[in-house]
Amino acid sequence: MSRCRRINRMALGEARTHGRVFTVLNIILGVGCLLQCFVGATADILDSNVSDVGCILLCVGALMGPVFVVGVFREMHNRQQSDVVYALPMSAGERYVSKLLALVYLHILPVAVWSGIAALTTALADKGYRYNDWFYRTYECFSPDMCGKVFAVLIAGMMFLDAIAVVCSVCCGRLAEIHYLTYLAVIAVSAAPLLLRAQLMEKIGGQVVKPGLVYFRWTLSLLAWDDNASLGMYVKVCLVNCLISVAVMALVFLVYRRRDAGAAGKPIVSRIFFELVLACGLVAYYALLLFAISPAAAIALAGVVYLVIHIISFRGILSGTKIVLWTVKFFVTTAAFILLLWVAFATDGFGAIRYVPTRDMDGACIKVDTEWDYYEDPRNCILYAGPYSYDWDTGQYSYKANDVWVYGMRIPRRDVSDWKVREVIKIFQKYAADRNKDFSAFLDFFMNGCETANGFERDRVCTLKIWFRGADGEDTVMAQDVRMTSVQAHNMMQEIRELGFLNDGNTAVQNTAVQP
Amino acid sequence: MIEINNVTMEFAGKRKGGSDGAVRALDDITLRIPDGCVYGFLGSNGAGKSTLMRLMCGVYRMQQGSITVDGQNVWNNPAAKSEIFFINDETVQYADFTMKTLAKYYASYYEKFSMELFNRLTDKLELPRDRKLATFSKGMKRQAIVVTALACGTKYLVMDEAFDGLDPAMRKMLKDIIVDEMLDRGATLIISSHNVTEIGELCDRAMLLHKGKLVFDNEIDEVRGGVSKVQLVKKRAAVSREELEELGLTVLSHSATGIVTQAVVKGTEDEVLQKLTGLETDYVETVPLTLEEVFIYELEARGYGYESLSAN
Repeated sequence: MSRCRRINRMALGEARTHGRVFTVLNIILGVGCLLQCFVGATADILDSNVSDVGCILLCVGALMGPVFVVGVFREMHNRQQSDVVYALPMSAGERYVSKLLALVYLHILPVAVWSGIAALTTALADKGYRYNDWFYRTYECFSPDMCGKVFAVLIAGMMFLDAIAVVCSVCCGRLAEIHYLTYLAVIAVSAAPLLLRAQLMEKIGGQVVKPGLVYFRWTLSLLAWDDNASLGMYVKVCLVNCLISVAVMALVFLVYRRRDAGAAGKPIVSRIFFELVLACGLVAYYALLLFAISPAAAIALAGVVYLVIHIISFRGILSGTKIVLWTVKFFVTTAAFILLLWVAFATDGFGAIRYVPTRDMDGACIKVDTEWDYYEDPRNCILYAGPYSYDWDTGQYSYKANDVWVYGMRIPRRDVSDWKVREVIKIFQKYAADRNKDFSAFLDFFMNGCETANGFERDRVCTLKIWFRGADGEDTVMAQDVRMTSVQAHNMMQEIRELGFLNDGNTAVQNTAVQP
Repeated sequence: MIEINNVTMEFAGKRKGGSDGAVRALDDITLRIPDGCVYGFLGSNGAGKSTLMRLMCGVYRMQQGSITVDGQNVWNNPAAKSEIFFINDETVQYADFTMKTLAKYYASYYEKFSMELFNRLTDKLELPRDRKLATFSKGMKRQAIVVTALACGTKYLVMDEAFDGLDPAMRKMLKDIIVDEMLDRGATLIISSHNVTEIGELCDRAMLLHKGKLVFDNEIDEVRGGVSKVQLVKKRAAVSREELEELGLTVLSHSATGIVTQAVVKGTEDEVLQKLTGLETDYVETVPLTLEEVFIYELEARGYGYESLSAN
């Protein structure tokens, strides 16, 4: 018998032992699929309140991965099962591949098939996002494009979660650790890179958001959604994310092949993994909460959770030395994060403050805002230009194709050239980089963040926001928030105003551009 | 043949205070288990029997030394492992299986799995096919696993305290089935049990482990014959341990009541009597030992007796 057939036979043998959960999964997916198909095909008959329950059930099925992973890799945490499984005539490689294959049969394939049927049926029915002029009703259902996107995200998200669950199953030896570290790792891995970037670069240096850039990293597989991204991009990126998930599962074999039955029952088998997840979790937590609540409270809360996780996962005889050691480790990690924050502060977000988009910004919309009290000196408040209207409530920009009418006057739409946009960016970034960067300023930033400068009379949070739509139809938003002194803010606004093509925010034509 | 060469195994342990301290479960064990025999593993609790069995079946990774099955290393070797079936002392891991699913499960791993044998033995033992093992009695669960193991058609069957907790009738029934089926095809049965009498009855060879060290490894008859119990009567005074040792005897146990001395010494009856001719005694008698007595005296000599343990 060839090796592949042998492994397949073993995978089927393994899969057969999980019939009960497999049945539950298929009921959930089947009902979800039927519901979605029904809704997709009859959306024009139903009124506007089209139910999403079908789609939700499919998502629930896709997120059931950890249940299957824990079952398939049961010898990792169960001593009795490890006696059975390790004694079977298989090499570690064959065993690992057969288990992954069993996971495909048990979870990945059913989710792909059921959600594929649902997506295809809904897409073929093509009843999405139409307006019924008859009764002025609207009904929302998935358009063919949306079906493809949802399907791609569902599969990529499922693969991501399964990969993390496999990592945790192989790196831990107890059921409790596998479960809570899986969820901790999913949150930490998803949030840490995004939040770290947000804190270290964007908070200090500003941000550039392009569709498909932020929400389509592997770590964000579960959050990947962008209305503006095309189906092609979705499919491409989700496929890459799936391949990365497979690569992660393959990489974990390096730990798996070193394990034997002796590791079953040990809470943590791979210390590196444990420390990595905890550090990642801590960083994500700090990045999320350090500026949201007071730093002292955030650190204290993190310390408690950090120690509790160590105490739970240790299971040995507790001693004062151990607790002191963990406390020291916690403070070292915290100090490392604060140090990193300080380096980011001192280096202007690792140079992010000097970022200038490379794309052609011809016709962009610009807003420079110093948060100055309007009644005190409106000239220092807002400068604005661009052929777009801006919704101050939602913060959204929209393109104005035609001329603008203000108080009965027809104001011709005028573009701001790429050169002009770059001139504004240059002046803003010069002042931004010249801001106070000594340690007291850092502490001030650490304690209050960037956005909360209101308590400091001498400081202003200055914002530069540029929005433009490229020739490919994709939007790019560049935003920089920088704290600087009132004097710096005043001088900066003066210098920008001298360029002559931006309006004061209080003028009647604030939403239109004027000729220089 | 299973060859165990210089096997040492340590487990990471924790001392009070959390400091690391390795526990040596096996210490330089060397053994040969010949084909076609019934081999018994004897030892005190925590002696390392189960650890050695798990190493033999590829459940534990080898740390030091080697174990080969018919010349092939066991760890991570499907060819070697396809000749061994391991039954541990629990049945809980099979709770969700029925006899049918159990057969299907093992048939997908063991190419020599015989459905015919499985069905025949299942019928013979009247085991229900569609009921979960969780609903079986302890004896029925054991029977189910043994039937599956035999159907896998392996050359070696390793059973770790597999009969413990069963009533005598059930033990006998299981032993008969195993021995009949195994002997028919010239297979080897390796069995560990705390029931030394049972090992004595069932096995051709046995070994004794104590605190990870090998005490003996021999044919059962030779084990029994290799230790003798001697009763001596000498006028005026009992014979001291030192006197016996001066004669070249290895004394495992010694006690004296008045002028009557009782000793357990190593050596066959003839060897012991010959050595005792140097001692002027009024009466000498050697009594044959059971395997259980050998077990007890060997361990007592190593500080595992009641007196030694209670003194600690």
